[in-house]
Amino acid sequence: MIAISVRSLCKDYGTQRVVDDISFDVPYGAVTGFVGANGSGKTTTMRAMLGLIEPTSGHTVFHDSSYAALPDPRRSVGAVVDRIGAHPSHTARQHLMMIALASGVPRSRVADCLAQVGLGEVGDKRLSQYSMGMMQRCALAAALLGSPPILMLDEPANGLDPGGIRWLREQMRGWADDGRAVLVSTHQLAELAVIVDRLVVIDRGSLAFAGPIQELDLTSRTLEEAVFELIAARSDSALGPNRVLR
Amino acid sequence: MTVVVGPTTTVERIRRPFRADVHNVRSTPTAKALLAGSVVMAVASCVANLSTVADSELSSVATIELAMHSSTVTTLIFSLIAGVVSSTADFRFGRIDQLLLSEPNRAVLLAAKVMVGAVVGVVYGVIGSMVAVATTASYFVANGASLDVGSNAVIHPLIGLLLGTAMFGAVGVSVGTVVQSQPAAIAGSLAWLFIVEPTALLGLPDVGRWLPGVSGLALTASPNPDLLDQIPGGILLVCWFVFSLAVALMRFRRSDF
Repeated sequence: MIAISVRSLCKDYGTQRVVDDISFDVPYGAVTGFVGANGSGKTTTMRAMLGLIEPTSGHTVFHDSSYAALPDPRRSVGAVVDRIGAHPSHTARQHLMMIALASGVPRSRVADCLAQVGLGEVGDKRLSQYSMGMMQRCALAAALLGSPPILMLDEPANGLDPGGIRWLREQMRGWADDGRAVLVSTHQLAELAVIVDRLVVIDRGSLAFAGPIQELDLTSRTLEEAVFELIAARSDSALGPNRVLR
Repeated sequence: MTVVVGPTTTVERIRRPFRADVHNVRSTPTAKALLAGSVVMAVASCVANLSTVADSELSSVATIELAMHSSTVTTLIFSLIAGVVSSTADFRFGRIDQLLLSEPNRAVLLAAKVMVGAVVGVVYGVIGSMVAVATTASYFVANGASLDVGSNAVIHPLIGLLLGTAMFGAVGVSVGTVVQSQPAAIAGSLAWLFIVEPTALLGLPDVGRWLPGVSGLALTASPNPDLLDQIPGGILLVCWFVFSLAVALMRFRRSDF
């Protein structure tokens, strides 16, 4: 069953096309990796999917409607975007409370989610005193507030220590095994290789691959090698970096 | 797939980000610091102006108007800045992402934020009114005079102040939404209020009296004869608010975050 359906998504900034006609699906019950080099357009694509950026053309459907038309977005889609979006003087608890109030989620979920991401005992510490890894856990807690069946995580492992990365991998696998759809973007393929079911590869704003990892033929190479070969093959073609529109 | 039942009415949809924004204002130190600054400046301005008046003229209507005016101007300016800060903080710290992920309808979100700006303005207005009366009365008593708190010279400016701070708070949110950069919005607002409008009012009073800050002064029954009367001033300020809201909505809808 399809959780997210992206169709012909394009985003231009002036004459620069940074996302070029991207289409892919994200099913429930699977971890879908969204990979590409830094600056390849992953964050722009995810923000456009969530309506934070207005796409130049194309659309994204979550289950059966756009993000803006979801009756209670936080209960349908949990997102970690590239910035935590919190006032530095706030504590993690205050930050999550703000989100809970804005989304109509019961306040009791704040403590539940802080505990779930391992911040239960430091929830009343100011975010300005948090390490990057703790900030990422706080961002994850925000995504989980509405207990959504769809999770979109943009570089969630940034700043996590090896133990944190392992914890995150287990969480993502668990969410997918519970039937949730997990779309996770990263530029570090090693993080994903262990748990990913499907892959979407983006290169210089356009789609290089979308499908189950079995289609990549990993019998004699690693996932990382397969993706690099895909991108290298495209570099030999006529595509330049971020196409300029006429 | 869980069936999600969302907020059923527009009021409920506005209520959620409204409560979130109130939480933000209450839990950040900037709002409290601005309010404290507003009180200190209102007292200082009132005392400084009263100290220029001879003791024999303290109880005159003109002196009471001067005292009220000095406090109300300060409070109006701080309520505008409070609105600007509350709005631009969302852009500065990326909080706008979290708010939009919770309420993607930008018109609904802006409506909630403007209402919070108005409520914050009213809080400034109530406190500013108390400060204006308390400071003036204390100064009068200390100098052997008395203040008739029920006189029109006191009541009219204070009613205007309550309405004016609500409007200024809301306009501040609109200005912040248009400019988005916090330093630029604060600096621009102060430059407008302290340089552009006074210059226009002095040089071209027929034009200057129609400007938004000056219409706020008119609403607070400022004794300046170049200004509109209190009610026309209030109506003009409402028009400026509607205009600022329309521009803010246009800008907000077109913004990428």
